[in-house]
Amino acid sequence: MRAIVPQETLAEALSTVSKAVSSKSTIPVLSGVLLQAKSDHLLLRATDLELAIEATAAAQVQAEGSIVLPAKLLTDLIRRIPFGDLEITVDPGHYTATIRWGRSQYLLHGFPADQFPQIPEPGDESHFVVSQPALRDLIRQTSFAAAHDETRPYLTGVYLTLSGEQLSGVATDSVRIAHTWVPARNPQNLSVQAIIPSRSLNELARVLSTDPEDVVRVAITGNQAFFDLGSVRVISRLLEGQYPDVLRLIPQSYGTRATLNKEQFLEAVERAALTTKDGAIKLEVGPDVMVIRANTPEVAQVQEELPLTLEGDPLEIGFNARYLIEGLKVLEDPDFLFEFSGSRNPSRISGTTGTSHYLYVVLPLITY
Amino acid sequence: MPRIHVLDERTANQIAAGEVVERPASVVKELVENSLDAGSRRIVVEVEGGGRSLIRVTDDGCGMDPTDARLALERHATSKIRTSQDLLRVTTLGFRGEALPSIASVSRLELRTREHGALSGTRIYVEGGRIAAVEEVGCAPGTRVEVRDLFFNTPARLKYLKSNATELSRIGEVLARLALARPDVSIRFRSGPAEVFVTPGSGDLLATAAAVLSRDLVRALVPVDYPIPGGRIWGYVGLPAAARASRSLQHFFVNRRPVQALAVRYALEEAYTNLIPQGRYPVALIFIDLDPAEVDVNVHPAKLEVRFQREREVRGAVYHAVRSALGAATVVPVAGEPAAPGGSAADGPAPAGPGPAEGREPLRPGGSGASPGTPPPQPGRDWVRAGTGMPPWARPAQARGQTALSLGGAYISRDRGEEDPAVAFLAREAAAALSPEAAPEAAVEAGPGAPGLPEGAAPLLPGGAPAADLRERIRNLRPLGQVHQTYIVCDGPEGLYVIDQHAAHERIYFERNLRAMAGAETPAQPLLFPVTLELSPAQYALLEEVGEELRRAGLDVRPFGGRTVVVRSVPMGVAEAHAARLVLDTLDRLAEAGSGTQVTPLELRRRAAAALAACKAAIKARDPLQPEAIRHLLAELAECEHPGQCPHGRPTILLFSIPELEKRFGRT
Repeated sequence: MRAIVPQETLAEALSTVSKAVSSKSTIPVLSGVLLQAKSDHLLLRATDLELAIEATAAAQVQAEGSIVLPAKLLTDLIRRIPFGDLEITVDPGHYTATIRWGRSQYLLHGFPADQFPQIPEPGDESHFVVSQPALRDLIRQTSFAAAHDETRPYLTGVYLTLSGEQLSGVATDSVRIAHTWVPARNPQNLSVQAIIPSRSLNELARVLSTDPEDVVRVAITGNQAFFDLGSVRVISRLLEGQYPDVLRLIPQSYGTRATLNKEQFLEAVERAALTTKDGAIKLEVGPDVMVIRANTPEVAQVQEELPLTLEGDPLEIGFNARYLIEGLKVLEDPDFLFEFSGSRNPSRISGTTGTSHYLYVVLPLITY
Repeated sequence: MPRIHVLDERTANQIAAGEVVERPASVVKELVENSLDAGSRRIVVEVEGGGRSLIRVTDDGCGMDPTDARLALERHATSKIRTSQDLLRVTTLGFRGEALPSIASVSRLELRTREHGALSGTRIYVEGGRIAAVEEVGCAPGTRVEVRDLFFNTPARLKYLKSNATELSRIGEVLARLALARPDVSIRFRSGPAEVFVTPGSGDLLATAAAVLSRDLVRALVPVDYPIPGGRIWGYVGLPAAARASRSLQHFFVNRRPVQALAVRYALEEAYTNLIPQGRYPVALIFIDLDPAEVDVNVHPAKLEVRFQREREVRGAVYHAVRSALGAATVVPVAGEPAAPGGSAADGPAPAGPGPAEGREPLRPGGSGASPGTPPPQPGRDWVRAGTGMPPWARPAQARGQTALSLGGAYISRDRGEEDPAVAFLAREAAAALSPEAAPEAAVEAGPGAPGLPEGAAPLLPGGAPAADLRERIRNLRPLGQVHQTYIVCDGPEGLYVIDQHAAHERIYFERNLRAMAGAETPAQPLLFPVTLELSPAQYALLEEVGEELRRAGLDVRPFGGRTVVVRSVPMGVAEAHAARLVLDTLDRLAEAGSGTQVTPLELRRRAAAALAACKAAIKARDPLQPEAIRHLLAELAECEHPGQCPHGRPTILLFSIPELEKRFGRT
């Protein structure tokens, strides 16, 4: 293999795929990145077997071929090379690659490309299309609520459902639920349910653009999801398991509805939480104001008052501040609706403008 | 009218029952002993309601013919002795011939028995001592005794019984003893639908111990084997580190009969003098096999106590047997563990002295140079071999001024011991292990903020400075980082501080739980998807006792049909994923904390808090901690009432003082 590629193109592609490099895998080849020279481009791929990221970089390919090079070294090295073209040649007999630019020349030892895991290609026929910023929002507004531990692996993912022209996502860790949906183009009228690891989605979100014109083609096969962004592809393993019907757990009627300013509330909660060891705060939802209290003996006593508009009955309710903060941070609206169904039942947070379908449900703290 | 008359037989039996049948566990003991005497290889014990509603013992022993079966239900009917002369040579477990009639007089008892080779068996049904039915039945060879509604006709006794959980645990203890005594017999113990334990019946004592005690404990056992005239002393004893806060794990067997023998206990504990501190008790499974004529088993109606004809000799022999075992296992270098000073220094060219190195010397009177692991002593004519002098390391250490060897071992909480550093270390550790019994409880009683330290808590700083000083000191520590994701290393005014992350967490959670249980609010985090799990019967029973306490600390566990429970909330800060583990671990720890004796509500609360704390901390142990989290942990520790120890008495913090560091580096 022999290819000439601009430093900046290669550096960008490397930084994209390096997120999928396995940091502590016992399989040495997985610490590398696959370079494949083909017709007019260089294909880069890294994987930790759960997530794979592929990026293509336009290149002058003089001889096709491939090799796996140590990802961290290669990424760090290319980043430090001055702008301009560099040439990569591979000695297939010794699994080494030589990188040349200016008067410098580096010979790197790698692995044979055939040791690198293959990725089965999805059939072309079954896919749906979402705009990149919409998918980004969906991920941002759900994946944070997924569980982190592995006891119920399916809860560590976001449950994606495609039905008609709606792609909805839901995530929960058994204490809160985040849910939203975005429009999708579904020409084949597919019906899809899949649990995608939130880690894969977070990496995907980092490469999704904010330009509504950019789209991502999504194909979901037996146990993998393919997100095709054009020059970048993200492939993720699916999580197995029966995702619980969490939306059914959300109360339908709320006896107390408060409308609050999001920034004001968020800041006050963050301040109050500073004084607590574990984030336990109390909200007194009154007719005119909401009082936020926190009380840590020998540390601090907090009282914050915020204006609100209230419908329904006043109440007192406890929360872990962290759950409120996380749930509100991803909401774009300036004001939000905070709905309560008694002080021991789940409460619901949603926007007021109707531009987002985001819904956040959180269980309060209770004392016996 | 004459005032004195002879009691009718049923009344006499009921009175005798008072001696033999105290509680379900005694019924189980008598029945299983009979089964063992009948030569059974397999015994199944099933109980329900802690033995109150049902005790069923099924064996594959020799069985009885119809005449014997009937006779067995008469007082002092026994197959095991015929004349009073035989009493001197009793080798069977039972012999007084009063167990079955006594049990039958206070229950509804059904006996089914068939001799091997007989065509049919016999069924006898007795209700409150009155034989209600005798008939021929088909049944398996062997004997099955079913005791229902124990004490139904003696309400006073019924009232005296403890909770099902407690009775069940006593039955468990009795069966454990019997199973240990006879590893060659497989004993299966079921409570309701659940299997409590099954011993393999392979004759392997260790496998049996693992089944009825715990696997961890078995790992800390060393073999004892010591010949005596006409027999031997053998079994296992625990390493000093495995010592317990109670004697519940001391099992003595004389001629395979589980007994309580004060002489043996004294000898055992003497053998551990200076190895474990007062208030801690060694673990032991000691078998004494000797001529039956040397033992009097007819001291106690339940045959619990035995007397030895040559008590002093037995005592001496047990002492030496245990010491040899401990010597062979080179126990003393246990002190080479973390806080053990000089463990490594003793091997190096560092100043020699009677430190741990000497402790490694085998236990030969006079300290001859024999190496550990030498074969057990040869049978001798004397009970105790010549040279009864104390082994060198058991003598009070003469050495003083071995500071070089005692680097860093000092807890900041304590003055340096004067004895052999290794022994001093063990003593310190164990003393620390003891104090929580007094400390936290006293703290509860005195309420938070009680000044000074309760009795039993040793001074936390050299010179007896109060906990307040230690708190202040912890506040001023500058964390340097984490070692092995287990210890936090800090720079402080006096030197290098090392904090056991796990122990510190335990202390923090313990005090928090205790406060919670004492009434202050602790928030609980309810779960959207409650976690269900199945408990063992003992765990389930335990949960019924402590469920309310745990709930107050935020762990809400409710019955969910059968022995399944559902965890509806976890204490705030515990991940939902750990809910099931938290419940199981807490119950296990509580069960280990002890059963049997009456527990005051306060003690129960303290135990529940300690168990929950330990388990929450275990979940947090080995977490890589960010610098922020380390500071947080230290701050919380500094808030604690007794920051120096975990609730089980291990130290949370060690100080390697500057002078000691200098000495170690040869800078002085």
